[in-house]
Amino acid sequence: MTYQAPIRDIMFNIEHLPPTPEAGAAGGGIELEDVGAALEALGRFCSDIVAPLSRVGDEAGARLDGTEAVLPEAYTQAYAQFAEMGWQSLPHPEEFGGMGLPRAAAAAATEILNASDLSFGLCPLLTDGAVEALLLTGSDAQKQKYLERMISGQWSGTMNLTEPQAGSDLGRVRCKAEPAADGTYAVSGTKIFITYGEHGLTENIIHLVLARTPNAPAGPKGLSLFIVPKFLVEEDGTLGRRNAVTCVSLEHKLGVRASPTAVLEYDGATGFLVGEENRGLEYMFVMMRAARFAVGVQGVAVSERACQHALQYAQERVQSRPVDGSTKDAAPIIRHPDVQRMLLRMRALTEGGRALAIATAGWLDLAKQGYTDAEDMAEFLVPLVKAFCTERSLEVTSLGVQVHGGMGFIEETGVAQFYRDARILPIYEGTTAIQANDLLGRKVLRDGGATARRFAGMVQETEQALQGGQCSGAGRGKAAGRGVPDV
Amino acid sequence: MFEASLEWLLNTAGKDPNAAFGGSVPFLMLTGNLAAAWQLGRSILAASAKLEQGEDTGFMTRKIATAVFYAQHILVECGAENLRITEGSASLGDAALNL
Repeated sequence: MTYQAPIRDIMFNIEHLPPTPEAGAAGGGIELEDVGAALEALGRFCSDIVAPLSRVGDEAGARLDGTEAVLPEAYTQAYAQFAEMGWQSLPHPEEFGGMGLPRAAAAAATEILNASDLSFGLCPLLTDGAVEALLLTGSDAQKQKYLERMISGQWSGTMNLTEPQAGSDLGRVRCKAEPAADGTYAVSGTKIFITYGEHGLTENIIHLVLARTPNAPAGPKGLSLFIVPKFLVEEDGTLGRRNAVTCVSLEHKLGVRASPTAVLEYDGATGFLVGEENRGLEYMFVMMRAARFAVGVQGVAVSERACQHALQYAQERVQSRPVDGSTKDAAPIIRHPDVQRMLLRMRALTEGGRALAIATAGWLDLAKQGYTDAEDMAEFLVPLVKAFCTERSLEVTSLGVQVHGGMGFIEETGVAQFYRDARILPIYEGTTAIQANDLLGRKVLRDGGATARRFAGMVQETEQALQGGQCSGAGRGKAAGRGVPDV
Repeated sequence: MFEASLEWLLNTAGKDPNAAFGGSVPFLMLTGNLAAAWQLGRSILAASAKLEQGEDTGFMTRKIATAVFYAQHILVECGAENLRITEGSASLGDAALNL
């Protein structure tokens, strides 16, 4: 079966869940209908072009040909169409050719794209993060040079943090950056686990690299951020010489196999400092916040995909008479109570994750508009989106296999791939434990629990509204109080 | 549940950081669960208002039913997370992992 973007539910979320109307579509002066139309068009593109890639990509994977990463040909064609249609530009500012849609709509677009194929979705996801980092920390000249063609999808972006000895602990980064007389830096060292670190989908790749200048302090406060393009960009915008960054291998992985995960060797590559020296980690956190949020959305995405497959299978697969004796013959398995329980659990976790993600997108937009309270709340919610939605995606995709019974274990049905693809989500962009330490250490303990108590207060307001009968029909009675634990 | 865990963590982190951070993932899962339920609660309120106006009743009814299922089948797990955090730290600290 193919994937159908859940536009109705997404639009319900965008309309109702951002914390204020200004944080939703209204803030950008954009009509809800226009957001809906854009997402529907993206949904059609994803159903027709992107979703069929996932099987092909899983089977063939990305492979290294010399020093070039090669993806299945269908990916190259699909990416060209993706860029041509302007989908990369959706959330980015109009100043640089973007559509300027609010983040709730952008989150929905990220979900739709990644539900179609996580491997494909990763390339735009990393570009979004790099664009965000350059928008906030790049110089005007750097923005002029790189942003327009990244936002158009012509060039992609990467984040280069990890080294063999520096995983979660970035203070151990050793990659060096030697200043040259012309103001550039010569970047040398090995970076690993670089998603889309090398590929031929775009004509250039803009690497954002953490490295140390010669007299930098040890530890995390001695890291600087550099732009290292695969091809240097001339003053007139044309592509110049190939930079000294080489892909030396690609990882063989459990899932997202078409996404090239590169080991990159920097050998005196020309780099351009972003912002000030030794503030690289701080800048990288900008990109990481965007990427962590987006990875949480990937969790919702793969969950939705698993739900759709499981539901269809349960409607078609006929086994056993219902326990209530309502039919004489065997019935579709969706008639059996435990299959219903599994499907509802999958559906509820997916809709809960989507609701959390879209509400958080609204808080992120409010934070961008300068509300300090919203900034604190967004910081509190992002690790939840990242870790909760991705951990739960493992449960949802596992249940998706279970609903299929023995067939779920056979690759042919495609649902085993969702389970394998999802497994990276609670790991990359900061493991669940890293998110949990961030939540507890930085977002809860640091302000003595003030933001956490404000969060609890808002949850209680909603609870009181539910109990106070501000809902009707099926909502009243059923939702009010009964079985709903207190905060 | 959330507030009980929160107060316990605020009181414990200073004197016994290992005990507090041993509960960090359960606390994140509790908080994420509650935050998702909160948004589904807001969805019930919005869907109820739409139902009253007779708008898209099939979708709104399903939306509410899914949210109620969430509350009764998934939100209830917050209780177990709270116990892991507030009661489980001693056994985590004492467990023999042959370190």
